[in-house]
Amino acid sequence: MLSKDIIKELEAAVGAGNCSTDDAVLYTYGFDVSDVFGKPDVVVRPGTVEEIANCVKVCAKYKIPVIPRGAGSGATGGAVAPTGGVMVDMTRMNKIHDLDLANLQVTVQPGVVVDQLNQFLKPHKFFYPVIPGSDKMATIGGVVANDASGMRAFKYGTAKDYLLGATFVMADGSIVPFGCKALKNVAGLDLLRLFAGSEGTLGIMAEFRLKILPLPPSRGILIAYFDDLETAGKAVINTYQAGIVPSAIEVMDKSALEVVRKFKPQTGVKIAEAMLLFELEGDQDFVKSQTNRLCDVLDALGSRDREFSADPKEAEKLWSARSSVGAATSVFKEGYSRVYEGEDICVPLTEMPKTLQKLRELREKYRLGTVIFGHIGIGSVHPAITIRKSEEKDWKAMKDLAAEIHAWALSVGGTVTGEHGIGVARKEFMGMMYPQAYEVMKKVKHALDPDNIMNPGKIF
Amino acid sequence: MRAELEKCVRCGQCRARCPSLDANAEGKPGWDVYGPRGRMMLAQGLVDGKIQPSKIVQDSIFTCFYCNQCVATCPSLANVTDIILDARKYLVEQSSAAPQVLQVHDTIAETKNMFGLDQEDRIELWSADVSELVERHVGKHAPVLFFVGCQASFKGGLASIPVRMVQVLDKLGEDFTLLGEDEACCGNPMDLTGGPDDKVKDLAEANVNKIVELGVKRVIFTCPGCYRIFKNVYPKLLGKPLPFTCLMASEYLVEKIQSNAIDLQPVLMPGKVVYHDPCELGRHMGIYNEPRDVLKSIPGIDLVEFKHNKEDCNCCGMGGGVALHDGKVSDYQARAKSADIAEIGAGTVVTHCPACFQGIEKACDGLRTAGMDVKVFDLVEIVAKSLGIE
Repeated sequence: MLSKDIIKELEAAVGAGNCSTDDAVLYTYGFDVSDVFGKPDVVVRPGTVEEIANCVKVCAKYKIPVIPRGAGSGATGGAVAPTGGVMVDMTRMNKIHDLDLANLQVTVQPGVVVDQLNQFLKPHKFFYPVIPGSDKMATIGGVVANDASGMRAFKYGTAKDYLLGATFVMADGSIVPFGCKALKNVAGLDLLRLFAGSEGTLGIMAEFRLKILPLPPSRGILIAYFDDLETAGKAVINTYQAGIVPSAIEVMDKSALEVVRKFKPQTGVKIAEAMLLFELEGDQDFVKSQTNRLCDVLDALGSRDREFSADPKEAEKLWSARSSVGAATSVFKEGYSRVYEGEDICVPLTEMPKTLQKLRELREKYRLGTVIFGHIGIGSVHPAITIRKSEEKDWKAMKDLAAEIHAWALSVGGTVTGEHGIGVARKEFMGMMYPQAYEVMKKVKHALDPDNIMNPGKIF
Repeated sequence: MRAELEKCVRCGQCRARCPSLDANAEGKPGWDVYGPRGRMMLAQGLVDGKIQPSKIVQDSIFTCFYCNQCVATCPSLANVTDIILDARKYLVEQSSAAPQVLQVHDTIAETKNMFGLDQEDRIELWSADVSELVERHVGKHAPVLFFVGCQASFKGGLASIPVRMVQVLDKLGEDFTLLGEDEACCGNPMDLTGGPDDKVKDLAEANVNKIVELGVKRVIFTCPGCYRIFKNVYPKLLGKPLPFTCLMASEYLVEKIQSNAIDLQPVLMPGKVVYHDPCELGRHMGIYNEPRDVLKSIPGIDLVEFKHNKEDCNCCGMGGGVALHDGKVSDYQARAKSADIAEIGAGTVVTHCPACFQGIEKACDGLRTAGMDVKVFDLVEIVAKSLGIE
């Protein structure tokens, strides 16, 4: 509980109407998508970089935790407040400005939603390629803070690859602009790559200069069904080896297809052991020729029931089916709800067939409703575990299952998180994954935030 | 309720299209607590005893427009608006609802209408221009009944809807009846604002018994609120299916069009005509095509669509009893709706709901001030014109 004087100082920083200590408000800010809960002592909603800085200065003065938050759609407890403190809700800062098409860039505030940005850019025939499955809700601030990526990550990379500049609010409340308008810049240490993925533990990123790209002239979607999941894994490797670079390759196993059939039957997906969705981009002739070559690859592996569409509306429908699977997994098994643990491993491509096999074995072993899907083109798999939340034994089984999934990913040279981040939920794995480098990270954290007020308890 | 709550994974997808999230903040991005995800969390908190009813809980739960956009977009298929109605009931039980909301429940129970007016006025207030026609039909035994509803009965500005409906029925030679002063509030305003089930059930019994007494086989509605509660809620409350069929006027008219039993003549409407989907009729009851089919059957109508139409249509601000709890929030949403009308450049907005009629009128007020000439009609008014009824 913070004193009335501190609250008054925070109110002075952001305006009384943008500061709340109401119990109901605080309660709703205690959650994200994960099952980590932590209610802040106060929520502030700054409207400018200066207001953020003024809030952080108050927190620095009294050594109070500062928890930045976008849409609260993260999956690791990264934007909740297990130790209380001041939650800084960025959603008021949702302006897009300084669109500079000639220089391939746009400046945005952290509360801009990814889809909002892409809808804004679409008439100009440009796009921001970092499109997570949660693009309808995730904010740019959260996306960058977690170095998120999503479905087109193999071709387009992750959030850090589109950062040209940012304004940091440091742990003492100082404002530090960084970066420039040039598309290349190697002047000194790259603070953008340090802060991207730091989950608010080093400071707050308050404004972004983002690189944007021209929209490809056309896109085609090829869907292929497989009689076994492992062959689908092999198809990815064979695709690349044939010199074909799709902008996305997504996998849905039988369980995920059943979920889509329930949630969006109008997509017309079929039930099979696995389905791969390939997206190819370029001018129409290129898309056609690449698709033909891809079909040769898939023929050799015995895929069936292929469907191709270059119609944008049809493609959007198929993508919407895929992007909603994550949250829709709760419809897989009556009475079971999704929990976000063990849901974000990433493995080397060559390990993908074995990984998919392993996930199936684990699903049989634990007999929880586990739905398997992911960005297979870059080795990301999202095994979505569903449980009966009222059953204590399901919680225990889920924890054991998640631990086995994480251990498997590490054993094959992968990672416990490809894009969702560490937060609270996965920090126990940091030491296992990086016995030496984790200590270096702690030194960096201490150097920039000696009082450990910036999103404490996350990553570290 | 707990099982439904647990479907929610707090992904936040519902935030993108929720009108009340922004309407509560007058267009600025609102606090999460005023969106569907926030409301689901509050409901969970109330169930778990983690939070207590408060002014903000009340404002959050009672400013949902019941538009069902959240349900339409929820990937977990959580029935968010059902949860919100349950939460409203709980708050009412705890006497933690606005005084005017609690008062309306009492008023409806006592006077059988939400305005506290004399039931004798139920016919008088709208039927002056068609009194002879109405008198011939009130209380008679007939296979078809027109259920007028409180809004159209008591709000003078909406009188044209029931007037045109009875004239259309008459013109089509329909053997129809009206309940007159025996018509009780359908219970929708009570159901939407957390009123007790037993009071809604009393109203259901009163209406259904009277309708059965008159030998009615089909009931026609011009109000989606009445239609929804008859069709979806009454059977649950009464524990049995209704012994008659419920039809929105548009469903009835489509039947007539398909059987060539109606002679629709060209009408000249001002400018492009756009149809606004009432939330309770569209997303709640799945009726999107029938009103459009009626309009398309009338020669001379240049029918266009809002950018957000059908399943994605924006609420006009009159849904969910929000106007009763906080008129400012409702008014804001009506103003927001005006942007849709301006964007499409319509000269005529048609709707199929007396509440939406009022919301769209509010939306158009601002446009008229800005110099845009736009008129609002209910669907049955257009049909009456097409039948030469003036």
